[in-house]
Amino acid sequence: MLKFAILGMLAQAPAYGYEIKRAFEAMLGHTWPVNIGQIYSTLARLERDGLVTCEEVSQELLPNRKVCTITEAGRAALVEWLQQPAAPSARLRVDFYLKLLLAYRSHAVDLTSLIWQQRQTLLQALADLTPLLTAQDESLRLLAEGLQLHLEADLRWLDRCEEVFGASPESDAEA
Amino acid sequence: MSILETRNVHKVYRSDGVAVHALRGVELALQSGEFVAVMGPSGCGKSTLLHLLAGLDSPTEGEVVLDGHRLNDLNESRRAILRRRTVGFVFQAYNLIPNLTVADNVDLPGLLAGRPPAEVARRREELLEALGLADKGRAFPHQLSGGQQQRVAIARALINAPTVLLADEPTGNLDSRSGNEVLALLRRFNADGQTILLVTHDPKVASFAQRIIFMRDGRFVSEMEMAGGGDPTRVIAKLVEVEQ
Ligand SMILES: Nc1ncnc2c1ncn2[C@@H]1O[C@H](COP(=O)(O)OP(=O)(O)OP(=O)(O)O)[C@@H](O)[C@H]1O
Ligand SMILES: [Mg+2]
Repeated sequence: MLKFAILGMLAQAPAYGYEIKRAFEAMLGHTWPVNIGQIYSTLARLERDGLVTCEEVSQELLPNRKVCTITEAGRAALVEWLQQPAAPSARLRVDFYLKLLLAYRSHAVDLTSLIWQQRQTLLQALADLTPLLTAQDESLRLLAEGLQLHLEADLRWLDRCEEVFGASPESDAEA
Repeated sequence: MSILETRNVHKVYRSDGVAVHALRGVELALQSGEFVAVMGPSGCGKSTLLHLLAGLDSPTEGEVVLDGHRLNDLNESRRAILRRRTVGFVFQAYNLIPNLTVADNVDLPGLLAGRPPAEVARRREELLEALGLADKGRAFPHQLSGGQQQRVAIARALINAPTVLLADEPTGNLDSRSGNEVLALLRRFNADGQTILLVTHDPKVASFAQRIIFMRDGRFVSEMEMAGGGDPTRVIAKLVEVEQ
């Protein structure tokens, strides 16, 4: 994916490694740092595949740097990638579901507390997001809203698990 | 200091010979300055609880202590006076008066409480400003969006600087963005010292509180304190799955 992110950055204007890194990180509100080594190695692969061309530019008092430009083939690859729908990411917490089923069948731990602990973990994650939901930065806010809605779905499903597995709240009253 | 308490509160509704046991021994202690959410599924008794807390209805058994006053000991008119002074109420359906302007809607409880009109107007201006409605004072409710109407309802609930703000599904009719904005505003008022108790079935709403109490079938069954102050960018990085 980094490959296409770099092509997307270069489709806006030619740039050198650190510029790409900075622009990419800023676009996602600095939530997801990339290391510069990865950028250089990806650029090298893109150059080898003819998707970008890079050129050494000399700087006064500083080492030369490589400014990269997207090629026609690079643009075509980017467009193709952009037009592909992303795979649905309705990821359930399979690890949690497995725990739930095994706890239910083995009676090894209390099902009720398993569900409550998972609920609290998800609620805390929702709470952690709240400052971002009214962030000034529109793209950051949108990302936070997406995460919020996913967590909400997980919590609703947990309510269903509680109904189906009949976890009785009474037994949790002292928890 | 506990400013709102219930002791073993029960509520039984009777209609046509059928008894519905809506509350079954609720024990609540709300401290000054807290922001608490009571969360539970539809029908578990949240609105019933809120009405009892506000003194709008009486428990079948047990008692509610509001700002040091046992509500059972007060007659209806004294309760109404106490309520006006100490409770702000936000309903799911805004309940604004359609033929009054925004300013008049907000002022009404202040004037009913016998405050000087100039003081009420000053506080209303402050509240509308804080809620992003400074230019809407002369508008009528039907000219506002749902989110704006709910913010007017919040201003109205806060006009008497109540000891506690009670809110019943305050974002129930709003889309998630305006809902988030309303909740962020409630959080800001809380940061300035306003005590808030809201009830909701929605975990997105509850997650704005400092403490969540879980309710099932007329009882509190569990609660959690929220940990605050995580670094927002790290929060997102933890939740987003990056495919390389
Ligand atoms: N005035 C009433 N007369 C008879 N029964 C009532 C009355 N008000 C509420 N109930 C019953 O009491 C129970 C609790 O109702 P309540 O409105 O407090 O639930 P709630 O948690 O607020 O639900 P929701 O999330 O749907 O608003 C329900 O079974 C309801 O049918
Ligand atoms: Mg209700």
